[in-house]
Amino acid sequence: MFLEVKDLTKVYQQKNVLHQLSFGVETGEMLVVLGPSGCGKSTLLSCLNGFTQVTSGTVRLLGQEITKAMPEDRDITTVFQSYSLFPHMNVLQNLMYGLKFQKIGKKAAKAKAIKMLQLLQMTEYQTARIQDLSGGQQQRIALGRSLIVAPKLLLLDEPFSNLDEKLRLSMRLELRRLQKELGITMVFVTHDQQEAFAIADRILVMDAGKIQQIATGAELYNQPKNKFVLTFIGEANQLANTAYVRPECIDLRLDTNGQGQIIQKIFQGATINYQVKLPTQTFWITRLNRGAAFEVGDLVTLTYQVQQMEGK
Amino acid sequence: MKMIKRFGALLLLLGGLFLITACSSNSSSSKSSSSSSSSKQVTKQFKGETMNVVTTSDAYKPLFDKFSKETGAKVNFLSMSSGEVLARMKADKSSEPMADLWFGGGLDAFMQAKSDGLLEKYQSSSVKKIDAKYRDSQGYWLSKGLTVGGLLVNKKVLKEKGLPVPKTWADLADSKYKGEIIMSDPAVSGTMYAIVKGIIDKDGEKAGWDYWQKVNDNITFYGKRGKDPQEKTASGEFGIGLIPVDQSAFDSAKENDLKVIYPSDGIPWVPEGIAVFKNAPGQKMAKAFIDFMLEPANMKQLAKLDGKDTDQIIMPGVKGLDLGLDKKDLIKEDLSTFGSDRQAILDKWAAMVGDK
Amino acid sequence: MKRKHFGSILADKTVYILLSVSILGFILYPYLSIFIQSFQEQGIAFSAFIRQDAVLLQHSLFIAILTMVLTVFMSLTLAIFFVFLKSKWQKPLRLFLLVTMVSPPFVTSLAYITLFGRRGMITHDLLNLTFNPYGAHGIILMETLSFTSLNALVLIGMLHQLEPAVINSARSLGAKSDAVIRDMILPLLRPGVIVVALISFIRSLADFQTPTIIGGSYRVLASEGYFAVISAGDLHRAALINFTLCIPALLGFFLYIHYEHTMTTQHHGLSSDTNALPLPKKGWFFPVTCCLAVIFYGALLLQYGSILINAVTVKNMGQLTFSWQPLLDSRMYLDGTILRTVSYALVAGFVGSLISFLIIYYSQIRQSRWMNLIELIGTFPYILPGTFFGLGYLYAFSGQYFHLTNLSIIVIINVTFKQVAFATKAAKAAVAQVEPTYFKTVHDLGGTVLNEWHDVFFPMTRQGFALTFLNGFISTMTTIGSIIFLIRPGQKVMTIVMFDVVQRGEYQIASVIACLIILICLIMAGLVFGILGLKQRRWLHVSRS
Repeated sequence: MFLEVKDLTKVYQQKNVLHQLSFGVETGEMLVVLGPSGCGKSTLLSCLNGFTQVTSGTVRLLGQEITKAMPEDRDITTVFQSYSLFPHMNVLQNLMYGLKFQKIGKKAAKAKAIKMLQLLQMTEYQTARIQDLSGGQQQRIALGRSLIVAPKLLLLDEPFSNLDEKLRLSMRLELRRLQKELGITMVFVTHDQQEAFAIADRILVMDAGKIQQIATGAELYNQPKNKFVLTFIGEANQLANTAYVRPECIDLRLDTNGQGQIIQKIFQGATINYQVKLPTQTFWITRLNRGAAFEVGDLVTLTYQVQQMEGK
Repeated sequence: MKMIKRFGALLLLLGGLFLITACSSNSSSSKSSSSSSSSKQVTKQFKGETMNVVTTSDAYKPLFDKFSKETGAKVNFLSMSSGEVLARMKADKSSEPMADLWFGGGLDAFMQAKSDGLLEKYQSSSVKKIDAKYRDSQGYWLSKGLTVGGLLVNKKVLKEKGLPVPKTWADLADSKYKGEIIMSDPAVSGTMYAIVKGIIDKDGEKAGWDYWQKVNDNITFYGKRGKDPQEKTASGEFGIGLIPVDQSAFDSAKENDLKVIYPSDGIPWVPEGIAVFKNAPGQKMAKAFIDFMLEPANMKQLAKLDGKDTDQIIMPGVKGLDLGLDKKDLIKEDLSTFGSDRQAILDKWAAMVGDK
Repeated sequence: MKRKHFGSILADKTVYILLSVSILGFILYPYLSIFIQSFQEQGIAFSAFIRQDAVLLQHSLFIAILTMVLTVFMSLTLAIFFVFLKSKWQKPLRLFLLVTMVSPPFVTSLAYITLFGRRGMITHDLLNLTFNPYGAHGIILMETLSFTSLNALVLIGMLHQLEPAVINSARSLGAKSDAVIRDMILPLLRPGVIVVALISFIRSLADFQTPTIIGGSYRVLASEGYFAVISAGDLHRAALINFTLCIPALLGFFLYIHYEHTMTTQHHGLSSDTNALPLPKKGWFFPVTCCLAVIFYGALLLQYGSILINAVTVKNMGQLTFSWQPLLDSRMYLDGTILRTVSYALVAGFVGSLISFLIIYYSQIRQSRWMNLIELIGTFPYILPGTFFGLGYLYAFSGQYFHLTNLSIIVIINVTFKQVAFATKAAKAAVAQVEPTYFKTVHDLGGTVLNEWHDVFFPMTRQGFALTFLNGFISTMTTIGSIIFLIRPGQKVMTIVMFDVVQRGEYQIASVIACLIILICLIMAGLVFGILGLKQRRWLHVSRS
């Protein structure tokens, strides 16, 4: 196991922020930590990069215990949510900064930095001031600054949350490309499930300081382990006990004798969501925007297959 | 509406503070009562009025309190050096001078103020009790007592250095005391000026300046405040300080295990002045205060507050403290040139000491 | 509706005109009058004076520059020391700096002589040294000791505003404590350092009290200017000296404006709530700054400790014994003065802050160029020596046009307007935090200028206002230079009384008064912070529910 976390617990002001977390990350893997805000995912990251002292448990990187090592002594770098570039240095100086501590000569460091700029497709910004860069460019430099020191593990704390939608999409692809190219193991923290699906090899879902499930995106969606995962990832119509059905898994048919009646219709572009009232409960149903649509008041019949989750 | 109310409340609060502070101005003294100013008739004739005094020290408060009790006048006072009084009178061109009474300070400043036209003439009926040489013949100022110059010695320091305790002014010229003597700049301290002038009067122009040249060689720097020598001798910074000798010097000596010395080769002295300011709104009170001060009982209290020896009191028959002063030791000084020579002496002094 | 608008336009214009007139009248006019009148008086020409007394200027510059360098070094040392400290340690150490920021003039220097004089308790009695404390080194040491507290507080405040993620990034890239300090903290504190340096430079130039007590034979412009007045009543010379002082002070000030500008534009980016500090106690910086900080705190502790001891002891045959006597004796001197001083400080602190915030409202929010100029004029009392400001008042308000010098209100006006310089700077910082769209929103919803003030401007800058008020209060409680020539009998304030008793050698009583001043300032600080804390808690409560 490349990174191994065992029974990690963090108590802060008598509150259990992290509760006996155990998981591993494989070499070259991109693990996304996903959870609502306040679930403890940032604290987890902070325990990994060493800025927070853990209460108990161990962290091992390549078999070596680093639980109590100082941040600067860990082979781990972090890209923070704010760009946190050094405002008093230019682009090249920012990129070169971490190389200083690896005893790399100035010339070699500069060459590396220029190569990194090529990789980031920002060659013409060598001597630009940080203040003159756009948000996306700043984020790319921040990423480059962490990547250039070739850390064993790269942590990213909601790195794209300050970017606009379009930029966020392209940055995801870029990050994925860089990760594949450089083969760096990464832990990526986000609260955005689309982002998680887009870049993760595996996703660790967290809530209330506990791991809810670790799995690939598809597994999480198709076989949620519990109610939290079910409702947090995607939409679901919950039936009795552990039974549920996803909105897109329900077939809808016009039927004048049908028990259901459409009471709401929300146009989404590629899809249309319908709310259907049945005597027992209401359902949300998602249909592709293809062919004839239903209207509010239409009577319908639903067909679906009930799915079961493992626990509550 | 609420907003206006709040602003209103705020204004009221500030106004209240102003009432406490601003209305304590001294303009209340401008309406002087027209009752008789005869010195003996003291039936609270100044009730509700305020007399403003600039003085050399806060120590006179008990005397002012007594005056308040007898006349009903409230007395506000403020300590100020004579130079400062002159400067402020010059700069402040308002029709009302900053105070009614000027109480204490070197006589030279009073002489200057008289020629600058800052003083009001007043001849108290009891002023004749005072020797004519201690008052202005035209009645612009009079003296309230003498300040005498002497030495304060820190025995411990001198012992540490193996030096004998000096007995005379002449001793100070000895080079063995180099670095152990402190005196104030005579431009700042009236007493120091009196000592400088006194010794020049005593020894004559040539010998006097030769003497000061030698003393100057022994001095590292001159204090910038009148109290510097006493304080710095007390704290052991220096072995010998030139000081005005009064009760406080003896007190300090007792507190800090020091010795006060009247040099045996003559004691320089300077009269301290008292005067009424021209156009002062409370000049009736100021004049009444002079009469009040000249009553022997009050003179005696003044001597006590000043910490003066009997021989420092200008009114014959009034007893002061016994500080061991002997009147015949006082140097024969020429008061007539005391004010007129001041600038010339200070200029020559400044040229001699250079940057000390 | 119409009437309401009319009222607000009237209020707007009235305030605007009042601000302009009062700043011109109470700051510019006194300076102009002293310049004009004093140069009209007979005496030597400026050129002759400079030739004769060039050495004074040299001395002043020497002291000011060295004090500046040492103060910056010391306050940076303290700031770096704080980088290693947990907040539970920072709090008491900051409180102590706050206490010593209130440095009552004179008394601190006297304490220094008691401790480090030729026969000082430490130098002579303890270390057996014969150390001569008088001279340039004494002044520099003393000024450094008394300026460092404020400067360190400024830098430490700035430290807390640094973005934690910047420091965390550096650490995550492998920077150890020393590298973080050298590469991140020092460069990022640079604008603050420059401001602190210039404040100290100007303060040192204008300080006439320290050289008076421990200058020995070392003469500087500020103290000579003071002596020119009190010994010879030579206003002409005093004016020449002050005029000479203005030149380096103004030069310094223009640099200050320049760098202050870059400081306000420095902040950017988001700050997360995670704390980057303290840094691990490793490397060179920690032991070095720790040692220096211990020495510094030790010196302050001794200094203020000796003031406190002086206040509760009497001396007999060289022996100290505990006594309430100084406290009892001081009653005679204070007699109504405390109430008056506190009232002056309250009025001056409040009105000074109000004026400053309104000036900033016009210059920043309404972008009035004229108000920018007014703001600049308001800075004069900070650059030029306080005694000069006071003499200017004496000249300006004793003539036939304005006859105010016989009223106590002139003293209040003086201390109020003296603060505008610093208060406008603080106000600017506070106002910069307010989103400008709020003001547009008020008008958009039908509000007037008065609503802008009442609903947005003052509520949103409340914290800044409170701190500005506190600063004004403290500076009025400790001010002396600008009012020493202005105070008349019956208008005494605590510093003047303290000055008097020091002149008379009554250290014990002076120490009592110094302690009282510190105590009053601390109580006021406690009140202000207490109220702010309470309000903040209430806000938090509201925003959570």
